[in-house]
Amino acid sequence: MESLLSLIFLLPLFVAFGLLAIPSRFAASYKWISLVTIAFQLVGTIWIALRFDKNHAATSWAEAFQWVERVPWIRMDLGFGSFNADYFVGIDGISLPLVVLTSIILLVGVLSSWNITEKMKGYFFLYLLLSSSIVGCFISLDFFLFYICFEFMLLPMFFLIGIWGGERRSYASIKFFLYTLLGSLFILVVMIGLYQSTVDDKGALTFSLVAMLDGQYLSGSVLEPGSTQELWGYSYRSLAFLFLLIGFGIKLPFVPLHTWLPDAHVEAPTPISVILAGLLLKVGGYGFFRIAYGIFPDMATEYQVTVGILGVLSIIYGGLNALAQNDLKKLIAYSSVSHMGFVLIGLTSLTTEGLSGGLFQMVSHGLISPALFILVGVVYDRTHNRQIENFSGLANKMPVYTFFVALFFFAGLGLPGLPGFVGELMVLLGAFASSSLPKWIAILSILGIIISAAYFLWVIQRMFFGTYFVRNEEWNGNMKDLTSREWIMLAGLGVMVIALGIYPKLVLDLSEQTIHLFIQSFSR
Amino acid sequence: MSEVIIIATLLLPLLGGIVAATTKQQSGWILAMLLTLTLGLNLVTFLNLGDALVVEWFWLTDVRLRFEYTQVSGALLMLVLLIATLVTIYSIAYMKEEPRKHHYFGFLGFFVFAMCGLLMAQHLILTFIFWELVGFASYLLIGFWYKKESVATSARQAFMVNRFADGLLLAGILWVLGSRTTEAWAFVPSLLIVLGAIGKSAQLPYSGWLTKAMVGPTPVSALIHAATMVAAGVYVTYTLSPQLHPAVLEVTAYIGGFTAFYGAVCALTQFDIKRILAYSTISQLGYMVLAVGVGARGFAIFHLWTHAFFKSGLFLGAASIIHYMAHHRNGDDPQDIRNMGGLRKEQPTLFYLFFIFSLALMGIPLFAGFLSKEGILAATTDHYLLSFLGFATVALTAFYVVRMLLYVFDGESVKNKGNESVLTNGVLSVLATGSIWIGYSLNPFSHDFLLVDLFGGSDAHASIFVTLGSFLLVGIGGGYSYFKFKHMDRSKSYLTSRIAAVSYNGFYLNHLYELIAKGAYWLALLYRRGLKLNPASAISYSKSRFKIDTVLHGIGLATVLFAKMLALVDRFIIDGVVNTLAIGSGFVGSYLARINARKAQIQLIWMAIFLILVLAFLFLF
Repeated sequence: MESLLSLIFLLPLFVAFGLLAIPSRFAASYKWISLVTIAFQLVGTIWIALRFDKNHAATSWAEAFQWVERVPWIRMDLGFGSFNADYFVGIDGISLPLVVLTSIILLVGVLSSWNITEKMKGYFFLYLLLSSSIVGCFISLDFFLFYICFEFMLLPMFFLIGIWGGERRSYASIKFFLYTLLGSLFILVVMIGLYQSTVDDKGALTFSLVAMLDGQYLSGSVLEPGSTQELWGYSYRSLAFLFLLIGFGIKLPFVPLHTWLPDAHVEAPTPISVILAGLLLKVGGYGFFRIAYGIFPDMATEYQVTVGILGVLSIIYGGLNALAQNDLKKLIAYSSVSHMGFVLIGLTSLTTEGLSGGLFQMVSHGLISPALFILVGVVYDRTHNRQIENFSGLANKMPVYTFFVALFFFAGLGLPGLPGFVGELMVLLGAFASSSLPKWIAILSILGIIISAAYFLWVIQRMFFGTYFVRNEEWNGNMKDLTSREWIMLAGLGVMVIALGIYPKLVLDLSEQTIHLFIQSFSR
Repeated sequence: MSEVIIIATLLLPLLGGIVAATTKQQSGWILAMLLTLTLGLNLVTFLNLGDALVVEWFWLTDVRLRFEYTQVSGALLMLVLLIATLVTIYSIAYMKEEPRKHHYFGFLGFFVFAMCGLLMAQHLILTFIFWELVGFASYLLIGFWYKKESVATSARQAFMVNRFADGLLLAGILWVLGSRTTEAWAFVPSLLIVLGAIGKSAQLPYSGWLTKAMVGPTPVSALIHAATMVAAGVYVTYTLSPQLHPAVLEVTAYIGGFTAFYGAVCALTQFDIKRILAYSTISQLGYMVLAVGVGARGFAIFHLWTHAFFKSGLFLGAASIIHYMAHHRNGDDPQDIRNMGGLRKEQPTLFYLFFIFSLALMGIPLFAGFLSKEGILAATTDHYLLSFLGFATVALTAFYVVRMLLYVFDGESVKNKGNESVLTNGVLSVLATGSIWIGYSLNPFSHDFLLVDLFGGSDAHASIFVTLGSFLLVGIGGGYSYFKFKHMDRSKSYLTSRIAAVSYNGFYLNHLYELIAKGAYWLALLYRRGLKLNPASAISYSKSRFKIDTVLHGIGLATVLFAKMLALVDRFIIDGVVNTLAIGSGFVGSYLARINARKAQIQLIWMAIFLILVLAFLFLF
């Protein structure tokens, strides 16, 4: 049981390679194998979550992690120095909710992949590869391992969009690839810098994130706090922070680094949109928590207003763009930009409420946005069209579908009792409570809540209310209510969304102690 | 023990809603039964109440959300539950033929749950949670007949106006919580809270949404858009008023005063019976907000209380009238008062009940509206403008009520006396009891009421001049109306007379909004000309005439157009930069590739040039 964390991380990877050995005659078994694998992963994650000690109070990051596993991995003498990377994993209150979320969404993703018929072997191979690397991102405590997982998400994603995507799939997938690759380069630079500046207990250079979080710097190194070395008039630490801001900001994404997102979403098949919105964006957010803000708390204070402005810009700009869309999927993609902006506001408030709110917002968005993309998939599967103006009065024909649309739309626009509200409320509470963040940033963020109501309600009115109408008469025969597979996915997410909205402490209790430790680094 | 009562008050209506939504046939009776049970429970609790009952809910990590059952909340809970029960019973008859009636009763149960939560909430965040849920329930019920495009539009617009106000309220609440002051709040957050809270009460400038809300089923209008939800804004302002900045309270008073006057002026000229009542509600809510602003807190809630009875009575009466019109008179719009007339002979019981509610609304002595309105008018006497607005509204109210009565009940009857529903008239009789003086004090001219003291009292006491003055104004307004409309020609419009001139000031405000709205509209049109966008929204906009809420439409449309413009910016400028970079690097790449692919000599030349450049650089610098 002790290496359970490694098991849930590596199991999909091994199964993926096992899948390659199964001949294509048994293609139907691929999805079942994937389903069982991910289900097993989910059981393991829940087991870990239940055994996780919520009250574990730590005074330093070295004590903060649970289920830690560490073995030497790469030891290389480079001539001018040495390269030491460990296989080092563990979880704390920030990563655990995201790991649980990952397993849930991956399972939903498998279910929504059920209709994939072409090149099934490749599809499920890549899907399992992706599963492993996403989990790996959240549990890595070694920067090198993290970086490998972070990079490894790109490859399957590129092919999954590029092969199984829509009409403009090659444009979208290349754009996605180049964008995120660029972001990764910024992170790579910082990683090398940090490696050269951090030492472990024995004085050797290390990639350990724990050592970085605890601030064990080599004296005289470039990234040591208080180092006077400068480049282009900036200290190396602020440059490193800005690089991370760009690197993870592309993933999150914030405006103006977001333009890959609408294209990737529109062209990706439904299950990949689910993973993209539900999990990949969260990797960006997690990077902010663990690396940018965790390792550079001094810079977080210095760039507080800058990040706040970026957050507000994403919230309002993303929301207004969503309002302008006629393609339902694009609308939801832009709404993701808007909602992830709240994560930035929560972070930059540098308060307990804001940070736990930002984390909660990631979890809640991680449950709501996959459901929204599944809902778009429902109408797209039936008509191969998702222009809002082509539909009207669907409530008359598809009442169950309409119920779920209403549930998740209202969750998205932040109705109390559903988790979107909790995340936004806590973030805003933090933003208003912060003594150093200007009030106008907090007030402008509230505009985002009003705008989100505008675009979601407008869609409900245009597509679901009114008299029944579809643009093309051929579609009429297909306009049937949810199939049982769709129903299971949506009902499952719906139950979780309602539970989390009524009792948000399910997540907040897990993260409380870690956030408590985290917040202390800003006052140091 | 206290937990049980609070939790039961919350969950019984919710349970009723859920059960009603799942059982098709008897849904109405199930909800009515559970609501009656909750009402009984509250009555017993209220009568035996010692200290306040408290339940704390650990919802977020550091936030303790408190529910409190105090005398004030208990009294209002009984009011809400009583009217909700009556409306539910009335709806059983009214919605008999509606195939989706189980949804209707489900939404109704959910609304009562949210309203009860709002009344017991003792933490600002908790207040906001139930505040939003109440608005959501209202959205569901306004949009109940969603198949009609206009209904769906109205529901969305009503929700959006509320949402805008909610945003301001949330900003104020969070500001206050963030600054961690408990006693007196600063000016800006107080202002945000008030400007947000009055949104639900349809005060200026939000008033437009309430008339939009009238597309919902009429019993819903009686419960939500007359008696309970719209009063929530008053209630929240009332509970927070001790902490609000004094200057903000003054602003509140003026908003209330102007709204009272505005609503009455608008009600003068309406022909749709529901719109008359809606504007009248806006006007009466204005009185309550005015009362909170000038410090007559007790009378604000007392007026809320009496208004709940007679206004829901008027709405339910209107529902009966509309129902009768739709079934027994062939004709056009069953809500248009010009098509009515002579109903006194055809529906005598309904007439007498409706008459009682009307007298209460006008503020005739012996009726409940008189008692509560007196206290508010008395409290305004220090402020000349507010006083003028308050008294002028009295006369205007009398005018439009008499006009409405004459239009609906006077004139030639078309048919003989028809059957009257015992159930619906029974419900109306209960409400009528709450609309006369006897429920509050044995002395019909008393100024000391148990309820007023319970709700925080008032310093001001009505002098004989206030009583006489308002009575005189009722006489003038009502009498003028009577002589004007008693022998009217129903086909003629009566809007061109001196009354329109008297109401000019009210329309001046309207013109101001119009101007702003027009500005926003033309700005939007300018954008539209520059952009080729889906014009559906613009067209639907240009069809709607300029009204009080046009300014909000203008902002809405301008926002959408602005959003469309931003989308183009996103597509062509931000993404354009990205794509230009990509194309640029592609171009450079292919050019470089060509260099590499050329013949060996050319490559050598390039190498030589490069080498010379490097050497030159090294030697020269």
